[in-house]
Amino acid sequence: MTGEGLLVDGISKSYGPTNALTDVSLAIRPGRVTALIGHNGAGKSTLLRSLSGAEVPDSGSIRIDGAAQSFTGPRDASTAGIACVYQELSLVDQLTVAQNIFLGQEQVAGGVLSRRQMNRRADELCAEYGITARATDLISSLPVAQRQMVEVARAINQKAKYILLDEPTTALEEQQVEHLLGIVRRLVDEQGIGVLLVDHKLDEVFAVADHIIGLSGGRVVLDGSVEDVDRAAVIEAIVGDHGSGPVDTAAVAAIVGDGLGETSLDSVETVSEAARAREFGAPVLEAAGLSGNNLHGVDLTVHAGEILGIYGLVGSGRTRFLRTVYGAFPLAEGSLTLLGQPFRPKSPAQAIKAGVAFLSEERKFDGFVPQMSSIENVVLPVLGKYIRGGVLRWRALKGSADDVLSQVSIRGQVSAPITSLSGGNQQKALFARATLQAPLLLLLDEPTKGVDIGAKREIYGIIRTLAAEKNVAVIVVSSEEEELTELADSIAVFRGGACDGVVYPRSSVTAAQLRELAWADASPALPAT
Amino acid sequence: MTDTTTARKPPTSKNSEVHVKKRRLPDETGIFIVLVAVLLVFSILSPNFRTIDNGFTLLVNGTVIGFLALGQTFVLLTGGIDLSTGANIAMSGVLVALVMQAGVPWPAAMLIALIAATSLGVLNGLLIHYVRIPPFIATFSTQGVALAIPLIITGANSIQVRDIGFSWIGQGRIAGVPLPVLLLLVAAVIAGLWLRMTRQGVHVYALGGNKNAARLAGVNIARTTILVYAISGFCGGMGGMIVTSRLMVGFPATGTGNELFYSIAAAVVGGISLFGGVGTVLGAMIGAVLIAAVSNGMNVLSVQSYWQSLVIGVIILVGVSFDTLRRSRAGRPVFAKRPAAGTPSLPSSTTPSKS
Repeated sequence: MTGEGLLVDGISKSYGPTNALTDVSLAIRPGRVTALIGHNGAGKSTLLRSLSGAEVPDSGSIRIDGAAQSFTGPRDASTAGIACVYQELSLVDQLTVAQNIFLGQEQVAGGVLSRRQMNRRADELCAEYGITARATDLISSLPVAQRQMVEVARAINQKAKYILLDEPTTALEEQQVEHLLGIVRRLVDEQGIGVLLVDHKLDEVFAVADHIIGLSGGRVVLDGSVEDVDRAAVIEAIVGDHGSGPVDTAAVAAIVGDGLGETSLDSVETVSEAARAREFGAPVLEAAGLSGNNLHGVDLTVHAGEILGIYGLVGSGRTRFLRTVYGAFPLAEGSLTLLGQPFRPKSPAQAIKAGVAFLSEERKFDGFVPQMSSIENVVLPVLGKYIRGGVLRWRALKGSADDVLSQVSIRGQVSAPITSLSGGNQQKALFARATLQAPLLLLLDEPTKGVDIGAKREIYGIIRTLAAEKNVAVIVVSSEEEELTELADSIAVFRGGACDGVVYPRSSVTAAQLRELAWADASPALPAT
Repeated sequence: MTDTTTARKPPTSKNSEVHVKKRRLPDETGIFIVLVAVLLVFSILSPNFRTIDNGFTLLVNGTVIGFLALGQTFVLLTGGIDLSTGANIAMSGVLVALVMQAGVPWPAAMLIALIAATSLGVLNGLLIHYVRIPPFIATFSTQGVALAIPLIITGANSIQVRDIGFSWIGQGRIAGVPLPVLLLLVAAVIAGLWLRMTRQGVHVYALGGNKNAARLAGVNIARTTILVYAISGFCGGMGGMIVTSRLMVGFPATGTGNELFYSIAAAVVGGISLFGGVGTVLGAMIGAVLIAAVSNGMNVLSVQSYWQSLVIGVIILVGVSFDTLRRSRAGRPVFAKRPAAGTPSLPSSTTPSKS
């Protein structure tokens, strides 16, 4: 590939056995908005990081206007004219708008900062791009939407020729979205900048983009001009199961005429509450209208002995729901009942006491205490049950810990710091901890994240045993559709912080359908219903 | 890594006992060897150092640092720091003298002063947990307050203690052993056992090891935080009682010197990690004796007192460097302790944690 633009040619990147990107080629042309869409784990972030120099691809090349680039760090990319605006903004809150815009490229006259000149230029940029803030305002005093614009202004000021925007609209209100998209358009039309826009919302994509690229499973599955593809084609491309190679856009457009998008969800069956109650035990947890903390109404029931899977896009409220039930987040509105009794845990300690166990998604961040041994980590939540005369019965504690740890077949020394175990064994140790708690309800957030395939099988076995033999009600949140269709008895879908309580039996729903269900809200104009 | 195809016998407790047999040296071995070496060197250099009398003097002088180090141990284990303990000596020491001056019998006066000292600790805990002031700033501020109060009340004059009974605390002996030494010994044993044998004690380690994980495992963060600062406050108060009782004067300018500095040094060289979650009371107490020995030995050898701070500063640097290196050497504990069967212990980790 030659010619003008930011050209990506056949880049691949893998993390261990996972191929995050496989032979990805695409072009970001100046004066065009290229939208990048894809599902959780489709490789969007890896692609962005590769383009912005934060990640070095294993193979393939990146060229800008014909010149080959090899980025070894973000600085190289920005020197080459690429600016990336991530969701987590990289502004310094304590500095002013102008200071941020000029950060690292301060204008100096005779060793002294030309403060006035920089402020004037910053004010010009603000006026030009509809930022209501002044150059001397602190970033910390600005709303999120404005901060995002400041970051864009910084990119413009630094003469970026290509701007990568990572889901810039997720935190914005409708009006602000319009404003931002308007500015994106102007950047492209007036300044001839090439924009890569990562976005979940198809409405926005179709409103602003010239070109659409779909990623799925680390491969480009859609690459076409916005005139050539429609929503159905886009959804089909990114949620469908693909072998390899991009979808022929002309062919997709032809298929869409047959209403492909409509039929795919028609075969999905739902299962009624009554049927689930018959198949499993009594309801253990019932959530009704759970709101607050970015949840917008969650209705959900899980029964004794049932493994209920929760599916949804990242940020759809799955983790917040689990943590709210566990008492780690306060419950604002709505009701929770546990075994028919009202349940309002104010802290994890209370939830544990009520019989709820939880495994965090981020083991290292809030799963275990690294300095402690596996045994100590396992017994931590149940110490209160092993006290005689105020003194811990360590012998009994250790006996119980050894028991549950051997049930999950830990490989490694259980009396050494838990960090000496492999990721899979650490996770199994935390399952041993949950087993020891003898919970009514077990909440699992991405239970097989970062574990190898062997440990994954074992973890599925542990979860099934807990549900089948101990009659534990299990809620599993997962981003892997296959994990849910394999493990869960029933599956519910979260969208935009809400869950309608509709439950699909695993036998009737496919991975592709799950993905489509999760996108339903994000793309309101889904094939006529 | 893991293997599912072969059904391997899961490790049992027997398995871990095998491994316990090759038990390594306890954490405290290193610092203990250093202590013995220091004592030997001073004994060789000075005949006066190696007398029993001087031994007791060393220990009695060390008790105040020892108490502060004991309190500091709890706070450091949670990953915090208490800069107000030195000031607490002055506050409680003057307060007990004032209360006795008002005619209150010494045991009641002591109780009042100790409650006040503990309250200062509780205040630290409240500021740190609820107001979310970083421990360094919170205790730095209360230190200033606690130092000023006795100076303001007394106009910087010392307060004589006339209740002879009170002198027993700092000057009494039981079976020839000075009472302050016994008090510290008892307190240290209780503290050591409490940390190992009670639920709340384990929670202290969990909080310091990983606050987020501890919370999700049901640890009451508020209670644990407030408790450790309260304990540190109480220990500061004990230091104040001993100082005032030994001098029989409530001296508003005590605790402004090196006590705080030495107590942190004692805990740190004793293996208490400044990053939280690692260390034992025994280690901290050996550290306190080491600091006291260095201080006493240099006095006996008539080294200019200016040198003491320098030497102890170097000791802190060595201790902290050791701690930091130990943490950064992933998977390779330097003096990691392996728990014996049935005996809980908290092995030192070597993996940096996001704390």
